[in-house]
Amino acid sequence: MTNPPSNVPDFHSDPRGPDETVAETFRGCGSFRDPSGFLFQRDGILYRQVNTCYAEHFDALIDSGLYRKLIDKNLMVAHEVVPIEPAGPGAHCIIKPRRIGFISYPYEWSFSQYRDAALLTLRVQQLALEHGMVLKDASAYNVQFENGRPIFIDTLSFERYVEGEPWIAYGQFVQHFLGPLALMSRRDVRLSSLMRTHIGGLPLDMTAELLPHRTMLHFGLLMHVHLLARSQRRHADDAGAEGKAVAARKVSKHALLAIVQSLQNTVKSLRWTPAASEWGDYYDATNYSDAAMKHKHELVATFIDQLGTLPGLVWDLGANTGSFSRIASQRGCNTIAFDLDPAAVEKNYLHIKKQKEQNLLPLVMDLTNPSPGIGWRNCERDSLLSRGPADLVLALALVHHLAIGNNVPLGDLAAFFADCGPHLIVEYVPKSDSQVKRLLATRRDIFPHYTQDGFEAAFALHFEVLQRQPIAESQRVLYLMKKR
Amino acid sequence: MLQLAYLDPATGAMIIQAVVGGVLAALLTVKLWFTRVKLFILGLFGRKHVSDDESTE
Repeated sequence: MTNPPSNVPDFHSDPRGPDETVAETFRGCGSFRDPSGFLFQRDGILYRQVNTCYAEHFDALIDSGLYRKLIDKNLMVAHEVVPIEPAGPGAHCIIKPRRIGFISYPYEWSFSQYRDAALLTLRVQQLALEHGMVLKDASAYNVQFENGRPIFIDTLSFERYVEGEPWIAYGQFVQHFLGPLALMSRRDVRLSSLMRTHIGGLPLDMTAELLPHRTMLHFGLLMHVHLLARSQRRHADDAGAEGKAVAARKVSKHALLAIVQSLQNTVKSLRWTPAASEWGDYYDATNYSDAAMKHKHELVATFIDQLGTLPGLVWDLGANTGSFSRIASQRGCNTIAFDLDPAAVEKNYLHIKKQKEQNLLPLVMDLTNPSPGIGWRNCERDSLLSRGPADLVLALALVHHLAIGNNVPLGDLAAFFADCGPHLIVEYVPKSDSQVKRLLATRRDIFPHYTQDGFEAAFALHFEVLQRQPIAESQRVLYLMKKR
Repeated sequence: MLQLAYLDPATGAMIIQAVVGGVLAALLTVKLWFTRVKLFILGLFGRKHVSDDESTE
């Protein structure tokens, strides 16, 4: 049995597929909610089966010109219809979508990434309405990032619009986008992590309760969050006759467009600016001299070039605002810049967007508690490690934070890096370094093995050292390692 | 009650759209009329037209 390739939603072998003679098929684990179709992988290629029950809407997407419009505007991933054996019964056709380099989730986005994903969804809904269609899903998981831009990935999210029908995904949009954004903007930016515990989006009663009372004075938030939460509470048990009467209420297309525009204005009005101190120049706050910084840049570039083949996927762990990530991304490697600090990720994203940079995706990630597999069977949304391995891992100015800041034994740290990818560029920061001294200033030194010899011995179990270079004008050492 | 609200988010969200949609559509209509009147008056003084769509983007 072959393993499914990395960077796609979790897949498992599907006994239902009529394809035992064709090739091993892996059906997407997080792709079961919608009967319109599902994702599967065969021979390492990602496909989406479109079921006959959705045929009418799928054909309308193409015939209405909406598909062409979305592709021309680079708002949705393109696909081609392929003549291959279906992976399940009831197939209308099989499509092969263009592959996204790395799948990310809303609880990993910075504020502006989240905001741009929301605005993309509303733009897609607007264009759909212009073409006589409507979005039946407004899930944040239908948006991914590519070259500093959000892109819609679910081709099966469209339905023919029926005049007078309310927007079925209105509540979902608020739960997946507006609620989290309002909480991030008006309460605490770290509350995006609530999306990790609520895979169906944030419950509206909870969002309304967590938001400050003054948000009642914000027209958009009053309408779309507080009143909606109240309406939902009031009608929660309207399953019977009253529910039917309610369903008969019509919403004109003009009103629907007004709702979408109002949601757009509300999302645009939400801002987040980190405290002035956090916006400071991150790299000035380190203890590097200009010469040391320059030398470290040169060494990282040299090490990458020494790998022989250019790494396809690079994970920069503890990337800060991405100064070193860019050494890889500018060489054409698909580079993911992870950092714990939402302000650093925000700054990195805004820079990428402004400069229209390619191949770089910044994400919020706490390496001491990386994204787990969540949802049904723990595999609707992948853990960080199951989205790997990367071809190259960068761990610069990171080891002391994990080993001393979080008590991770050096051997465990090496094992984690080995799980992340086969090549590693890692920086050893000694105890005599001012950054480590700062970490140890407020606590007892219980790290007798944290020495360069101890570091090398611990890493030797998992890696072989290919290069070892001291960084000029510092006490730090940079290594290029290869997994054993 | 709250648990139900979480399980069945649809009904409340569908109902409120009739109300919210009505209010917002009315506001939008007023805004469009106001913009038209403004453009008409500006037009009298020979000012260049600005597309409503573009200016709100």
